[in-house]
Amino acid sequence: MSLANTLLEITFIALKYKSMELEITSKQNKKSKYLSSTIEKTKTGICGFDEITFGGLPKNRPTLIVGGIGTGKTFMSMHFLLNGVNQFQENGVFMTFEEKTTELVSNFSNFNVDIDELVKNKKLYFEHLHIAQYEMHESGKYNIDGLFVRIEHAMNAINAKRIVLDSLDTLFTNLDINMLRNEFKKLFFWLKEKNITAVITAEQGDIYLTRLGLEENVADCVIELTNRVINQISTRRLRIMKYRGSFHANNEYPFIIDNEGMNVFPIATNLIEYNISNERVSSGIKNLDVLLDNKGFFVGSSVLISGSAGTGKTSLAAFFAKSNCENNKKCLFCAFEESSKQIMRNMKSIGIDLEKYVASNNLIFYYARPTLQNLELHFMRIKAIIEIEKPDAIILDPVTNLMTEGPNSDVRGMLTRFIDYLKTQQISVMFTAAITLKSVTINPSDEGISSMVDTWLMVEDIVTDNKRNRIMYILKSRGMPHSKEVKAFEISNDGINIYDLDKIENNVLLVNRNNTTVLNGSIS
Amino acid sequence: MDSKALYRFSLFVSGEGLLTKKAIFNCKKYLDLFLQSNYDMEIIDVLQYTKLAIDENIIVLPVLIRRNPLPEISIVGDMSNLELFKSDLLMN
Repeated sequence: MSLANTLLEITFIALKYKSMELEITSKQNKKSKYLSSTIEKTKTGICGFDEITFGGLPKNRPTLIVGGIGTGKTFMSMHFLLNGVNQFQENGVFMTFEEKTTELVSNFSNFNVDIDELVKNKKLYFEHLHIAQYEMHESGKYNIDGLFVRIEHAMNAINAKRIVLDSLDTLFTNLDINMLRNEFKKLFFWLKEKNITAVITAEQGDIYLTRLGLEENVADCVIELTNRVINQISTRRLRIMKYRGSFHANNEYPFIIDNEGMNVFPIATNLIEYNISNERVSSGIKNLDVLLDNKGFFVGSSVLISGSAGTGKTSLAAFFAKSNCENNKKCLFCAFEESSKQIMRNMKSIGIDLEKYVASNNLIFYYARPTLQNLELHFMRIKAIIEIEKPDAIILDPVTNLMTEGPNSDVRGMLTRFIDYLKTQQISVMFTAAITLKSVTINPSDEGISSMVDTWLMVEDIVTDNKRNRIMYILKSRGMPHSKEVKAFEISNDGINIYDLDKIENNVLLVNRNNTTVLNGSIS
Repeated sequence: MDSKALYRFSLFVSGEGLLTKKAIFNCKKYLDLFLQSNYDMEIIDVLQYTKLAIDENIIVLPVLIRRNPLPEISIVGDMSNLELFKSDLLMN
């Protein structure tokens, strides 16, 4: 009786929770539609940032960027200005209190933008402000009208719509903080009146968020940048702490800074409802296609090939690459273990000439040591390549190597985001992983990866008769009838052959080599 | 005024507000008191001479800069603190 009651209760709770969830999602949808329209925004043009803020920074209002040393405050604000000029025809003023303007410009010289030219054409205006090097004494009350005058002068000189003050607190380190608080309040009010979108950067403080308590005055938008080192690999993160009058995503988002600029990597964009393809793509091995409803994988699906070392994962991936290339599609091969040349040499030994495809530009290699950089950077780099090359398929070999980076949960989060991204682009993805059924029981988090794949192919080694035999089976394949049989497969000079497995008897593996109907290659 | 005066000062102010008036008043009072008329002081309104403010890198106002004798010394504020004024500015 009591059991029945509990069960009832559980179902009730579950139902309630579900309805709550529905309510929340519908509310969020309404909210984002409603709120995002109430406040005007200025696009930053920073990849990913405009998405998580639903349109950028508050227009004609000051925004505070807070962060420790080397977190990318200057870079982000500079990026904001350069994009303003290049993409939105909005001129910008950069008031720097830290670096000399010449130093600053040289820092951005590898940014593919001719800053000198922009300055000459009155698109950008730089000014270096510093409290004079000679000693400063205080006697009585003072204000910072000099700053106002100079900002106004700079704004008028180029009719600016954007301004950056980098970084305000360093300018006044020698002066009395209490005296300055009021002055800053005045400054922010003044900036609002001037109809200019302002970005103010400030160093992280101990008691207050910023050293001078600037956040009390800039009430509109506060962004925090951090740079954390986990397992000797640093990851930059961005968080929107506050955004008055606007719905915003409030997670911490990883971002990277490279030659291309700044890139924020949002967790799943509002997708889930992406287009799904019914088209199929061959695995490159005819017999394997047979197991998969005779057609192979779905286009745009994710395929995991897992197995212990030396089971032929990379070879299977190479066949997939070959299949794509032969159908005149583009394939991106991301190698994290072997160099591209090594892969090409090795694959030649099983009869695949990858060099040919590289020459015809059907195959592109991305090779990087996992520890070379943080995971975000890897994915961003790959994403950048994808955006230029627009491949139809992508191979990550092996994805478990990335696990050496950061805690596993991080990797899984990144992978999920990355696969989501690939799905929106309808790019098929195949990744290999050194996961076996045994390792899953030891390390359950490995299973997390498999939950996000559509097709899971398991390859294993079985030792019989002093011989290692390879077997494979399909663990799952969403949306298609597929074989449940365990098959034997061999890798030879001619490629991969898959055989039926008669039985495993007394630890002896009997391969039915007579079953030639499903074979495509010759048998030795 | 004697342009070859030993003491030469520049006083930067903004507008004609209370701070400006106080600063000018106090500067004149103290300089007259300590140096009699043996000094030269120019008063610059940054609202009118913005270019000068940029060249001189003026941010905090009002500010009194001692040009001569060297080294240059600057005092910010309305100069209401007599002690500081005396000890820092008039020291050679």
